[in-house]
Parts: sequence; C-alpha cells; structure tokens
Amino acid sequence: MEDIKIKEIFENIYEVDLGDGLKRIATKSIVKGKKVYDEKIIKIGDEEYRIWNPNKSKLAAAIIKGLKVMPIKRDSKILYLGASAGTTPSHVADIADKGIVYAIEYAPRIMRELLDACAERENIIPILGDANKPQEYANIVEKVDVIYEDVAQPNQAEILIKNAKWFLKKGGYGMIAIKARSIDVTKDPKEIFKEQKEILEAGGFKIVDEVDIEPFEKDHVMFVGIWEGK
Amino acid sequence: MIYVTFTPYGAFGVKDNKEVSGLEDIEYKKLFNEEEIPDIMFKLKTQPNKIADELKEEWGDEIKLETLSTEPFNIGEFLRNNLFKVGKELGYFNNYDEFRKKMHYWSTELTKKVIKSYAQQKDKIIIQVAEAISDLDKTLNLLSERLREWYSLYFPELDHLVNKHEVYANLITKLGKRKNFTKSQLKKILPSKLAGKIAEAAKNSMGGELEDYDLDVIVKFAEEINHLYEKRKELYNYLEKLMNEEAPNITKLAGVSLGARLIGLAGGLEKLAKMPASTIQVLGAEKALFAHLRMGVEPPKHGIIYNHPLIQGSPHWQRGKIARALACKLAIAARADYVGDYIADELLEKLNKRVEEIRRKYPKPPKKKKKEKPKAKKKEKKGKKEKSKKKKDKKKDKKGKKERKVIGKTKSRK
Repeated sequence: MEDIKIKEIFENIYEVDLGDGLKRIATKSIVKGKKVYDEKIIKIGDEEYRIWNPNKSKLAAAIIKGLKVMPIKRDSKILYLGASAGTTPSHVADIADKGIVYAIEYAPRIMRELLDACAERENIIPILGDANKPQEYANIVEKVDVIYEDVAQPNQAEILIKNAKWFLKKGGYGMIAIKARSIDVTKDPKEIFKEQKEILEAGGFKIVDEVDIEPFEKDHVMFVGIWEGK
Repeated sequence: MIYVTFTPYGAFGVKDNKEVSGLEDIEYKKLFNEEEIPDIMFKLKTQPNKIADELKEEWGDEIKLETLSTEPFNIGEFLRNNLFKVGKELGYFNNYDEFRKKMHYWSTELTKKVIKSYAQQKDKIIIQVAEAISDLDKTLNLLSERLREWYSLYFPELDHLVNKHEVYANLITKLGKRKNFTKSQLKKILPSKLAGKIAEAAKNSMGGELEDYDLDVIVKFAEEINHLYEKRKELYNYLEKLMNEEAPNITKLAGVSLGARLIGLAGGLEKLAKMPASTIQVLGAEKALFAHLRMGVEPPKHGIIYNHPLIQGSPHWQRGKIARALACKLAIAARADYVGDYIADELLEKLNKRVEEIRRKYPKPPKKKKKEKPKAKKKEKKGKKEKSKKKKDKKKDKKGKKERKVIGKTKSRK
C-alpha cells in the first residue's frame, strides 16, 4: 500500500502506479464504498479511487492509448448515448462530480442495471430512450458541453450529428467510439473509419483527436470533434 | 398554432415558433406540481397526442409538440439553454445541487414507470414462458439420454423398444426392477403388443444384475425427469392460455409453440405486427438470409415457420410457395392480434384455399435443368459456358450489395 503513486493526468482522472509496471488509470469515487461492476478500489488517505478497466470501457482504453483532448471536466454537462449497464457512465460521473450526466439507454432490460448503478450517483440522469429520436427526450436533457456516444449502430455517426443539433452547445465536443464491425463486416475497418470521419466532418464536427484502441477492443476508433454548428 | 416545449417542471408555448430570449417572451405557461412530475413525464412519453388535446382545450389553439417534431423549436432551444435558470426563477430549485438531485429523482421515477409498463405486457411473459419450455426440452433430452445409458447397464433391450423419453422414464419410475416388467403390469401403461415384447425381453435380458441401492438411485433420477415432464406440461398449458388470450389469430394459424416462438424471435407482439410478411417468412433463418444478401447464395425459403405442418407435410418444391402464403396470413394475423380483432377463421380459410391451389398447380417437382448441361458440354463450348457463369456470379454479387444497404437502413430505424 505504501508504494502507490498517484498523478492527475487529466482533470480528475488519475494515473495510478501500484509498483508493478502496469499503466492504470482511476477516478475518485463520488459514492464511497460502492462498486458498480467488479472494479478494484484503492484507498489513499480519505479518498477512494476506482480503477478504470480499459477492457471494459472504451473511454479508459482511449485514455491509456494516448488520447490528447479530453473534453470531460469536473463541471461538464454531458449527454451520454448508449449508457449500457453504467460501467463507463459511472466513471464519467466521477470525473464530472460538479457537472451532470444525461445517460440514454435503449433496452429496458439493461436499463434495470443502469438504474441500480446510478441509484446513488445523483449527477447521473437515467433516461430510457432511443438515441435515433432525440426529440423524445428533449423535455429532460438540456444543452450540454460534451456528447459521448457508444451505441454500435450502423448509423452511429448520423446519430451523433442529430443529437448535436438538439443538445450540443456551439464549440462543445462530440466523442464517438466507432465500431467497424457494427457498420459493415465485409469492409476494411480503415476504410470505414475514413468514411465515418467524413460523415462527421460534413455534419459539422471538426475532428481534433483520433485514437485507435487496439488491443483493448478490435477494430475500434475513438474520435473527438468540436461542434461548429450546422 | 402554439409551439409547445416540455421541461420536467412545466409546459411552455409561443405562437408560431417565435424567437424566445427570456422568460417574459413565453406566452403560454403551465407549471406542474412537483409530486405529479414523473406521471406527467410518463404520459408525455406514452400518450403525447392526449396531452396535446388537453392543452388545446386549455389554451384554445392548435398545439404542436416538440416531442413529436424532428426539428427543435426556438422555444425549446431557449429552455434547453436555461433549464436550471428558468427552473430556479420559477422556484423549483435553489441551487445546482438541488437541480441535479431533483432531475435525477424525476427521471429515475419515470424510467421505473416505463420499465414497469414494459414488464406488464403479456407478450414479454409469453416470450419467457416459451423460452423456459425450450430450455426444459433441451434439459430433458440431455437427462433422458443419460438415463437410457445408465439404465441400459441393467436392461439394455428396453432402450430400443421404447422410443419416447417420457414413457421410458415413466416405466422406470413405476416398475424399476426388471422382474416387475411383466405383461400384466406393462399393459396398464402401454399397448398390449408392445407390452408383450418388453415382458419377453425382460425375461431374457442380457443386462447385468444391480444391487437394490444401485437401482434406487436410477429410479430416483427417473422420477426427477418425470417431474420435469409434468412441469413442462403445466407450462405448456399456461402458454396455451396466454397465447389464446393475447394472440388468438396467430395461435389459430400457427399453433401455440410456433406462434410463441415467432413472437419471441420478433421481440414482442408489437414488433411482429410491424414486420413485413417477407421478414416473418425467414424469421429464424437469419444466417441463411445474410449469406444470401452478402454472398449471393440461394435465399432461404422459410425460417422457423418451417415447423408448421402445412409446410412440413408438403413436398419440397411446394414449400417455398406455401411458406410465402403462410407468412402473408401470419403478418395479417399479428396485426389483428395487436389491435385486438379476431379474424382467424377467415384467414385460415383463405390460407387453406391458397394452399390447395398451390398443390393443384404444382403437383409434380419442376424439371431440373441439369439434364441440359451435359448436352452443352458435348458441343465443345466449355470456355463460353464458364465465362457466362462468371458473369452471372458477378451480377449476383452486385445485387447482394445493393440489398444489403437497404437492410442496414431499415435496421437502424428500429
């Protein structure tokens, strides 16, 4: 326990060195003593840090693989599309402890788990909705600083643009994890990434960062773009 | 026309999509009691048109709701930019922490309500029961195979004489020892001809002798299998009841099990009702369908509806045609079930008519084209033949690609 070294690499995101040479990142837990999935928790002083597993979270994988632009900050408002069971959203909520996370999930079955995960995290607003139809949750979600999308749909780039039109402040950021396989299995992933990038740029995003998250996920890329409006 | 945007705490409207830059620009306001907020949100999600009607009455003008629009309204833009500030001005929140707390609470309550309404849908129960039956079938097969292997150490002849697992397990439970397999005992359970055969076999069995306590374990095991068979029957009766209540048309056309499995594959009665007949026709044959779309191999004639007696009982060259007719009628049946009409008798009559027509028209298998091939080969046109073949393949490929793109789009619409 004595040898733990901790360093803040982005706002409220920490690199933890347990002395075994592995690069680990962690977030400061806003609900102490509660695990969301089976993550490891380490205590330093009064604080609890939840180790962020890059095999389970594409955002963690992107950070470890050298993401340069990290738009999610302590006071960010975030729209999270494809919240799933709440693994990544819980860490995002840790980072944005002064902000708010609107978490959209489509499947009722998974939503049950998300509700459980965010029961005590009051900065997560769980919303059961279809990311393809932003108008259906426009009565709850406000204008946000960041839209993070991880939905694995063939039209995921269009979904990001659609949601940006409704909810993203001008100059805000879009982050999207593109899964080549869910867009077209037969095509070369590199070609797909290029195509998706073009769609995003034509839709109004200026791509400022791009990270390949192999080996944590196969054929996945994370794009970060600035929203320049229609 | 009043353009209306909802926030959790209130409904706000302006005439004709006017620009809004402050709370004072908003012409129509309806603020909600805090306790009612989750209910109102739920109503807005499930019956937006009803809410629009109520507002129309209250405000005396046509209502256009932002939740039903594909483009954001100006008033919505304003409210989303100032969701916390407006709420604070109207007295719903004192500070940002309270805003987050209340938003979290309202949204969680809403989500719970929606999930509850999903869980109360009977078709979701149907899907689970049908899955449970199919799980039981798999388990029963596995356990029965084991029972046969095990008991065959003692009485190997019985394995071939009794084919049905259920009867086999039942015999062991009731009789157990080989010496109990007498004709008079067996007659109570089986037809006398078979009873005689088994009794004969039991007398001259080549199985080894087992101690009582070794045999007891097998009998207990068989008992458990019998219990599971009873459970399966119970579940099936329950499913039958559910299906007759929820989907009488589908049940009449396709039967209980097949109907339930169709609903399961579609993901619910609503989804099945919205499917085109061609999709229903190949439900359960997705692998073959996508192989067709991608690689251009022959398309599947039928998916799970293959299990329908009309198709199984027909010769192979009629099956595709019957599958198409059946799928069409099933699509109509699903829609009738979804809205709650009963038209199954009419549908069944039409289906039977059509099937008869198919049988009359195509009584013999189509002639295979293969016979012509050797003739062509003889006339030394090998080269050309191969080329034309290649061309055909290419055409198929292109077709496949085009169709696949369409499928992608429809999928994304969900």
